[in-house]
Amino acid sequence: MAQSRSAKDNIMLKGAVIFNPVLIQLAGICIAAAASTDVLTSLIFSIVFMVDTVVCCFLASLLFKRIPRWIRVALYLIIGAACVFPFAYFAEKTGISLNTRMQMYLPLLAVNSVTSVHCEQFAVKNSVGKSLEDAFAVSIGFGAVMLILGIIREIIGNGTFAGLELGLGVHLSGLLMPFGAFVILGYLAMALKWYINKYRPEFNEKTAVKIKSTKVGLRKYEDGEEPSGEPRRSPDDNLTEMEFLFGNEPEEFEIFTEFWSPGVITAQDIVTDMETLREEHEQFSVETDRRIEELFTNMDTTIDFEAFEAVPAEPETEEPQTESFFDGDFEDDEDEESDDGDETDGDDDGEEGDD
Amino acid sequence: MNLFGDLMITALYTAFFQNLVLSFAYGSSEAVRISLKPRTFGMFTAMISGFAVISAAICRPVDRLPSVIALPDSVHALVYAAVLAGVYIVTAILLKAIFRVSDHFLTNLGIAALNTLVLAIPFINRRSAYSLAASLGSGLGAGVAFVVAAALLASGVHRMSENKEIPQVFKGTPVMFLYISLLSLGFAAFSGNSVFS
Repeated sequence: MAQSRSAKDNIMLKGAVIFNPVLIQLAGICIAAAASTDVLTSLIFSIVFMVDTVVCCFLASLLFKRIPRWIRVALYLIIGAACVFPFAYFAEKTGISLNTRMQMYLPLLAVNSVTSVHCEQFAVKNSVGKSLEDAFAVSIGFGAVMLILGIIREIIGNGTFAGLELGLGVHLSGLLMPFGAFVILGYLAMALKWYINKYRPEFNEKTAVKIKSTKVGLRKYEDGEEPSGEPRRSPDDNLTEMEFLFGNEPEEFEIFTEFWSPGVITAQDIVTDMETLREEHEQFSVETDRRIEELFTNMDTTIDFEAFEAVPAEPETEEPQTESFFDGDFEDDEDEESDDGDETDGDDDGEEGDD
Repeated sequence: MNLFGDLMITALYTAFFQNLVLSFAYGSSEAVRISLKPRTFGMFTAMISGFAVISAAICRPVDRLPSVIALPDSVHALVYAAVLAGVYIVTAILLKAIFRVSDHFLTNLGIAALNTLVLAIPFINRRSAYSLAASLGSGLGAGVAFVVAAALLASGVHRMSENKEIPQVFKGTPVMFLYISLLSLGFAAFSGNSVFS
């Protein structure tokens, strides 16, 4: 019981705070920046967002597990539009939508990236109950950011609070423009990062910005070409080449790795490409992985070796998944929509299971 | 000539003076994310530009249908969402049938097709009462605006990741938001709005 409650708290804390959809996952920025100009609008958007996210996650978890991912993406839009439409229609009929932002941005909630990210990264891989918890947690996180933005922007930008005149002499009306929201978001993200650094340092790396540009490739040695065995720089400063000799393989290959920028790059970035390479080159093996890992220890880059090793492993944890930073879109997940739909709690893509 | 002029003027206006991504935050999540993935930059921006133009090209004539023109705004939103979903599904099926593209590619296609920037284009065209040519220009300009925004962000992210003078708590998303705010402020200058009142 206590364990279950702890897991629940974990989902709430992670979804709402640690992996805040706007401040950490950088999703839903459009709505947060453009629509949160006053408290009332922020509140309405938060409510509509919650309805949209909860319904989408519920249906995704219940029905969409066996539907190909590229079709699910369109389904989220259709469900989102169906959820948002009654609110938009009601707002229009009651005159609330006279607020231009409401009129313009409310329908856009149907395609907000937070919902599709959480449906795809969490709901379709977990049970209905956990998906709903996650949906509520994310909605709370999103709503909190919206409300804070709405309060600050309305007071400072408009000199009012919930429509009541505060009698401030000067208004910084620039705050009502998206750039004002970005400034506030920057400081909110800073505050959250400080909290994580100080009180939840175990999430430091997972919430860090990662530039996912690692490229791992294979090149067969030319006839007569000898591998030097030492890492070397290519003429392009952004490219680090590493040579690797497959001792047990009939042919010799060179592995080169491109880091577009220094920074924290987890081994998952590498594995994404490695999976593709494995399909093309059957020579890749567990032994190869181990030796690649050894090579990367020589580089000035942080590698998460545990994640590296976790990829080929079978699901083994009961801990529900929450996406790490910038796994928010689906780009780096390899296609696996048809084979893992019935695994409810497992770490079935190896990408977020370490959370 | 007038049609081409309308198209080009609207495209230039939408892309550079009224950059929809940086001035109005449409599609800003996608722009930020793609700036962190330079490898997919070209492909993704091409997709998003294509869908922006296609959605503009379809939604504007649909908007003028007698049965649609008198509908409330909220119903127009439904129509646009349906058009967008239809365009994406048809494109995906065609690509799958003809070029046998992977499901992974199609998922990225979905992200490029179904986002706030692409869905906002028909709204903007309707509110601005753009002609068909101007609507196409608006779609094209939105695509270019996305490319400009994503390129500026990618360049900034690269530089910031190498900057050792940024305080620890500002590294990552905080400094990224502040950087976007400066870019946004730059484009907001074209709007003529006052920062103080």
